[in-house]
Amino acid sequence: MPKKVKPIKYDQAITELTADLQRIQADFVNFKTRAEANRQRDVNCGKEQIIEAFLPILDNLDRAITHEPKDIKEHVWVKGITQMVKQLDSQLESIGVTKIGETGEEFDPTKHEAIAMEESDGDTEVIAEVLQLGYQFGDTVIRPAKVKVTRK
Amino acid sequence: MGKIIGIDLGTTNSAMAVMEGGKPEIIANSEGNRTTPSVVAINKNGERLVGQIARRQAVTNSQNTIYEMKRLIGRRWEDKEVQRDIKLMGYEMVKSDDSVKIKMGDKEYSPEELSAMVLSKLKADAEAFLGQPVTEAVITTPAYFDDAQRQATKDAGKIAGLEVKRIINEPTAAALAYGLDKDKKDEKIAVYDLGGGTFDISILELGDGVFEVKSTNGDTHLGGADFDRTIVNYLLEEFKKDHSIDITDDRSAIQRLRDEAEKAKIELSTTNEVNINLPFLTATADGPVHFEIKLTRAKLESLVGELVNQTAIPCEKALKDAGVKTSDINAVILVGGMTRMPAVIKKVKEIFGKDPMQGVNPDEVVAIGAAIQGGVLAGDVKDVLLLDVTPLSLGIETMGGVSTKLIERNTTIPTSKSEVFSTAADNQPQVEIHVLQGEREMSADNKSLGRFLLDGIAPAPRGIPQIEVTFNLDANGILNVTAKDKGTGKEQSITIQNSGNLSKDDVEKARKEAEAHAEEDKKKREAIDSKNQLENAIYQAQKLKDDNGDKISEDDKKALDEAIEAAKKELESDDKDKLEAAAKELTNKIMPIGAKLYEQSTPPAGDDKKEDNKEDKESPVEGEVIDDKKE
Repeated sequence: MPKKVKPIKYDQAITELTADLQRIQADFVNFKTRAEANRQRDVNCGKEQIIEAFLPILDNLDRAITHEPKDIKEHVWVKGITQMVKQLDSQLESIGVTKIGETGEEFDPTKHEAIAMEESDGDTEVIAEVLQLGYQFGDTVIRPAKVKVTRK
Repeated sequence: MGKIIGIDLGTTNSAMAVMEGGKPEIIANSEGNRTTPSVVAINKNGERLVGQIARRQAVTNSQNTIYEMKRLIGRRWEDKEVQRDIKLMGYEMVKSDDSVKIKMGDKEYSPEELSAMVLSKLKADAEAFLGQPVTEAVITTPAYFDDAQRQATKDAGKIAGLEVKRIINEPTAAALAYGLDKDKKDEKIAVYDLGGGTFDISILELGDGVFEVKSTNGDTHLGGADFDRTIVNYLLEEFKKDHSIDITDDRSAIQRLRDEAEKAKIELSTTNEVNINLPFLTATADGPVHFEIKLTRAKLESLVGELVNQTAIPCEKALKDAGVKTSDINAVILVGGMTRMPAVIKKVKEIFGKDPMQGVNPDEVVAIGAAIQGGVLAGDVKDVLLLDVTPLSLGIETMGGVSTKLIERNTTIPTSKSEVFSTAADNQPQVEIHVLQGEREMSADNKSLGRFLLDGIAPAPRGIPQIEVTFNLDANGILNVTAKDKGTGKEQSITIQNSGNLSKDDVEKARKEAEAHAEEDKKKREAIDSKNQLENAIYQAQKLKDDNGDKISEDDKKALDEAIEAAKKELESDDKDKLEAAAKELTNKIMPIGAKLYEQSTPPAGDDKKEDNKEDKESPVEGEVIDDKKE
């Protein structure tokens, strides 16, 4: 009679290895699904990063336009610069970048970051003042608007 | 067989990670961030907000926005920490029996219920990330947490629908993330954790793969926020000096200074100087006021030097309590974003007389350690699953003595790869497969692992037969090479047992050699590629003449012969440029003759196709298998 092997040990090893294989297989399938989703996200993420890098300059251009000196307001050069900033805005819009935050708009923490609160009576929280414009690219908020909030 | 996720439930921020393919990976939340603020709120409409959104609306809803509940979890109302926090927190706390409850909206919640809200969000985001339900977790707590605090943290997990498989200490998790448990010897480890709002130092002792916390110390109210505040105050003063304007009450200006201070702090970890540039920072009756200032690393360090120094005393106390000398410490680990600051790293080195370990993101190191612990519990982390890589490239010798790699070095095994090659001469009856290992361009410089012949190839012009060569490398490094003639179906193979059997030194030597000879090898390789190209051009020219003998004029025939002779002479050369030029010249001379042939007779469609086919088959020619009996 041939020597008895120990089937229990093999059974255990098979169970363990099958479990390991299933685990790896599951990891891999999930990884593949996510890798595809990530690829698309990374493409957008790269664009977002570039847009984000330019935001401080956009902010300062906005501030410059807001602080337009009264005495040279009618100067053609000033008008030219103002037009140029408008051109920049429409160009940004055409690639899907839009501004967030307007005074009077209802406060929405998914898009706005409250920096200050002006207490007053009312039920609706609205933006009292936009301290820094926010930007979104498509549906993604690249930077929330920084706002002062009040009630209406 | 679900995943056990690792959660670092922090005072200000939380993070989570999971084991995947045997490696820990941070899970991004639904907003795409790798950390989530530990903040919850209820807005006027009764909606529950968690994380970034809750933080953004905090000032509009300060009474119903709860943060830093970790400071309260598992504590009794009488605890002096609780009594102190009552004064510091912006929300209302009430006594409930012996414990603490927090008012949010019109209800009272326990700290564990509030922590559970953060955990619920993490759970939901992890499920979205992994695409499967998550029901089990490992959660970390500070080493100084007592049983009640640990139990409360566990309860928080339960409320969130998570079975907490284990609560582990944050410093232990950090040590796991660095793989210190794998060290065979007993070690003493210092974990220096400077986060957003707290400072913790822990001394661990590792024995038999088990960590024991020997002592802890710290400062519960010292962290990154203090550093930022110091920088902002400095900028405010400088602005006042420059412009005689106090902007302390200008919310917008302060916010911009705050953002800029944080950015400067981060940038100065890698550069020595930053320009803080804030045009239109504020406006007066005279018009806009700009602010520009240069901040050097030295200046920053002098500003926050006092804060950094404050961490030294707790470290000394912890060492004393643990009964160890600094010279006993084998490893120092950094945790928390603030430990990226060079001044902090320098201080740590000064305190412990040793360079701290770096490499794992200090914001993520605890979550990663928790995930590794989760992996061990789930059975994900096993030696059998550790996959090896092939240390050197594997390939075959092709025309001109070139080594063509099929499997690149550092490829994870098991793996297989096939490629189609062809013959180098007309009617070549057999090919030799010479298996090579190494990084060099020429086969003679690489190690020969074995060779075999595949014969019985049907007579055909060169480049037409398709020989598929398959490399199959199994998990044990055993290499099987098969060559198959796709035309006849004949195949031959060889098994090489010890392809991976190399010492570390051998691999390093091979790699270094390849690096040292890279330039010269590349030149040699290019010359051979060009020579092969020229040879091919000669072959084509000869074929054109032989196939169309009756259609080519005598003048053209003579011109072709001369061109072929001239090109053959150049074959002797080893100069890439000369070889390329010769090939180009020959091609230029053939072209008009070929064009004439086409003009002479509009060939039937079938013939045309045949020609096309030949062109297609051209592609494998470049990798032709060598033939010993080449003419």
